[in-house]
Order: sequence, then C-alpha cells, then structure tokens
Amino acid sequence: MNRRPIDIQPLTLLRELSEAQQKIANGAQRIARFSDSELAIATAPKDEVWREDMVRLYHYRPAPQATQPAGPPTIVLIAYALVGRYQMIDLEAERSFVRKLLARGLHVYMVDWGEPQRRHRWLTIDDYVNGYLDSCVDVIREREAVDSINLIGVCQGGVLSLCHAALHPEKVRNLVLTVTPIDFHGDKAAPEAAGGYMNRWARALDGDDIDALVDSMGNASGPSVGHSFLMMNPVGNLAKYTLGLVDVLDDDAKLLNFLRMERWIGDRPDTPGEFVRQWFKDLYQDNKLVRNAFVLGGRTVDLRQLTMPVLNVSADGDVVIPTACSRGQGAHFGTTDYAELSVPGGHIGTFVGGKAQAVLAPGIADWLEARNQPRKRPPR
Amino acid sequence: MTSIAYDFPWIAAAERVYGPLADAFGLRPARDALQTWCELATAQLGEVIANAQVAGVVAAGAVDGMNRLTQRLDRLRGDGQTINSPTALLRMGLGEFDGAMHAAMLSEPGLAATAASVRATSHRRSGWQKLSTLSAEALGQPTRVEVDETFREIQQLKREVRELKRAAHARTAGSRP
Repeated sequence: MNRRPIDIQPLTLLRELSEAQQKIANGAQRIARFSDSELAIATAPKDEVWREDMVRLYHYRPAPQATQPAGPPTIVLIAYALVGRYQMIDLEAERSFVRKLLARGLHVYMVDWGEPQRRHRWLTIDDYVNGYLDSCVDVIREREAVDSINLIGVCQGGVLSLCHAALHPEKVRNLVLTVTPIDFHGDKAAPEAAGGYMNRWARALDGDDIDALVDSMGNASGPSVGHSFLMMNPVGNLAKYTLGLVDVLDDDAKLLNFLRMERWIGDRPDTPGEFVRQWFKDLYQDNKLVRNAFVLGGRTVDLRQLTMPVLNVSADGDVVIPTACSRGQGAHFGTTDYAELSVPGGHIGTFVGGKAQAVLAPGIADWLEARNQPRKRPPR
Repeated sequence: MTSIAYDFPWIAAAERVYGPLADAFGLRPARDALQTWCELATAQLGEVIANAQVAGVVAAGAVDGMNRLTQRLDRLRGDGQTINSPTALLRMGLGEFDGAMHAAMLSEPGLAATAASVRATSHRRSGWQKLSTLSAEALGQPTRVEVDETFREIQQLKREVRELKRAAHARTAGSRP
C-alpha cells in the first residue's frame, strides 16, 4: 500500500502553532529587553587619525593582552567595500576580524568611506584609489615611519586595494585580497546554480542602460543597493525572517547576532554614481581588470606590476562573488609569492561565520607575519 | 521644436501648423510640460509592463518550485517516508522554491525581464526629472542638471588641487638633504 507523503494531524499542527506562538511571544520580550550597548556593533576602540570629505581613517588601539611579536610590528590598512559599512569586520566582540588581528599584535588601520552625499556623485574609482586610499596609505607611512605597509582589501575594497597596489607598488609591502572579484567574467566558464546573479544581471544590460540608470539616479542609494542584495536570494531571505528568526528566538547569543547583523544590513551608504558607472561598465561588462585595460587617472592598472606577495582569500559558499571570479588568479599578477586561502562560509560569513573564525584572521596574520619586513625609512 | 503624439495624424498636423505659432505666443513651457507628461505616462506604462514581465518570471519560478516540491514528496513516498510536521513541510517547500526561484531569475527570460525593468525605471525616473526641470526653469530656480554640473566642476577642481599638492609634496621631499 502506498503511504501518503504528507500526513499532518490537526493536533500536530495545533501543537507546532502553539509552540511557535509561545516562542514568538517570549522572543519579542527578549528582543525588547536587550540594551543598546548589547546591540552595539563595531566596538573595538579606535581613534580617527585623518579625514577628507566624508572619508575617515581610523587607528585601532592595541589590545591590552596582545601578543608581542619578536620583530617589527605588522602594519595593516583594511579597505572595506563601498556598498556596506566597515563595521562588518568588527561586528561583534567574539567574532571580530579586527580584534583577532589586534590580539596578534598587528597595528590595524581602517578606512571608513563614509556616507557620500549628492555632491559626491562625480567621485570615480580613480578618486578612491589615487585620492582617498593613497592618502590613507601615505598618512600611515608617515605615522609609522615606514616606506610600505600591508593592505587588506575586502570585496570592492579588494579591487581598490589591487588597483592601488598595481599603481603604487612601492607603497604596498604585502597585499591581501578577501572575497574580491578579479576576473569578472570568470563565472562564464563555470556558472554556479545559485551564484553570480550580479555578474549575469550586469551583462544582461548594455552600456546605455548603465548610463541611463546612473544619469537618472545620481548616486546609487543605499536602500536600492540593499534591495538588490535581498533580491539575489528572495526565498532564502523570506525563510531567514520567518522560520530562521523563530529558530533563534530562544537563544540570546544567536538572537543578538541576528539583530547586530540587521543593524549592519540596514546601514548601507549611497555609492557615488560615477563609481557605479565605471564599476559596471568597465569591470562587470568589459572585464578590463584582468585584461590590463582598466585606466585610472590616465594610468593603466597593470596587474603585472603586483610584484609584492599576494594572499587571495575566497569563501567556499560565496554567491555574491562567484569563486570562479576570485580564485586561481595568480597568473595575472607579477608576483612569484602568490597564495590562496579558502574560508568556509559565504560572502559575509567569511568575517562573521562561526567556522571562519578559526581560519580567516589566524591565516592572514600568519601569512603577513611570515612576510613582515617593513622597510624603515632612513633617518633624515 | 516640441513634437506631441505624431502617431495621431490630426494632432501631428495641428502641431506642425500651429506649434511654432503657439511658441511665439509664449506657450512653449506649457507645450513642453504637456509633452513631458505624455512621455511620462508612456514611461509609467512601460514600467508596469516590465514589472509584469518580472512577475511572470517569478510566477514561473513558483510553479517550478511547486513541481520540485511535488517531485520531492513523490520520492519520499517512494522511500516509504512521511512528513508529519507542518514546519518540516514548510522548510522543505522553501528549500525547493529557493532553488526554483534562483533558476528562474538567472534564466535568459529572467535576466531579460529584470533588465527591461531597470530600463523602464530609468526612463520613468528621467521623465519625472524632466518635469522637475521644467518647473524649476519656470520658477527661476536652479535645475538638477545645473546643480550637478556645479558639483562636477568642484570635483574636477578638487582633483586638480590633489595633483598639485602631490607634486608640491614630491618636490619638497626631493629637495630635502
């Protein structure tokens, strides 16, 4: 006899509904009881050391119990993406990339791209790379009295760091790219079932569409960018805010993690229009970066100029940046010291995922410390 | 010269005959506004159609999701298994719908529909901006384009200042003993 695949008894239905109702009622009280300090994100102490327009450079205060490395300090500048806020790398004290680097005794600087306003709509990738980022690097070189520093780029920030390192190789001692798209057409040869939506969407548009979009929008508003990310996984997000949320309602740690993440997700800055135009036309559509045809400020970004050691970190389950676009890119670079590190989790999970905690920061710190030979400036 | 609804011969003829005369009587702003409203109405309609295309893709994804769920349940039945928890059924359904929706949105029709939606939205947005420009001009206020052009000039000047500062810094560094 064939059994029915679904056999839900009314009592089972009522019991599960009642349990969910109870969980939601208790969860709502828990959520209301959390204090603002419990929900705070990016709490690692830091000081602003430079600013220009809306861009800030922060220096994180050393961790009191930090390991003291035998050699000179490893100085790093972290550049996050423009489409999200830098707080992701210090979302929670227990899952903070920054705090883990500080605990290893690294000197950590962070560039905060700030919140572009309408007047910033003409900012190009050149302005970010040869303007803000280069100024940050110079400020750190001056403060630390070294000729070159270590650059860690995250996603879009990885592309900016890559471009900066190629245009100013003398200022970058080691380059670390995390979840960074390099070959924007890499997914063509190896399409992924649930990933690379942005790549394919961008290629479905033509250059005139991008122009019309940017001309009519000015800046890409934070909410519209957030909406695009949500639409990459609509059913997954529906599940996240319903079943997924109910699942964590009776676990304070998981609930706080959820709420802090929401605080970060809801705080998306606008992206300057010209930046968006270049990003989509030159990179997503024309894939100029790996063709050594990407021009910034009149100079071509030649990846063969990347002669410093490069560590390329990618996430196993990244659906935003398909791994085919980020992995196996060493042949494009001029360096002979190229390494890759795979991290479990997705695009954001690379920094906040439970499994990634044991891999990402220790892996990067080990790699950097093994190559930490900053060139001290001769005394003047 | 403005051109309203040339698809309609009588309107087109009247426009060609009397349009310049109307402009001469100072009716140009009103005629521009009328044309922009017509364009905007067309753009709004275009956006509705484009969004309907996207909705069609989503509906196709939903149907595919339902098929996938049915097939999954068939396999369960074949294995002699039964789902007796509504939550478990919901999770299974969402999982199947997720895969189906990804496939639908990443398909050629899905990408074409979202691209058409982007085009239509840009078109509609620029229609409203044209109207806003006409209003600003009528009221003697700076238009969006004028303000943006000013920002563009300021940004260009800032770039030049940046280059000059760098050059000055390099000269100073080079002249140090």
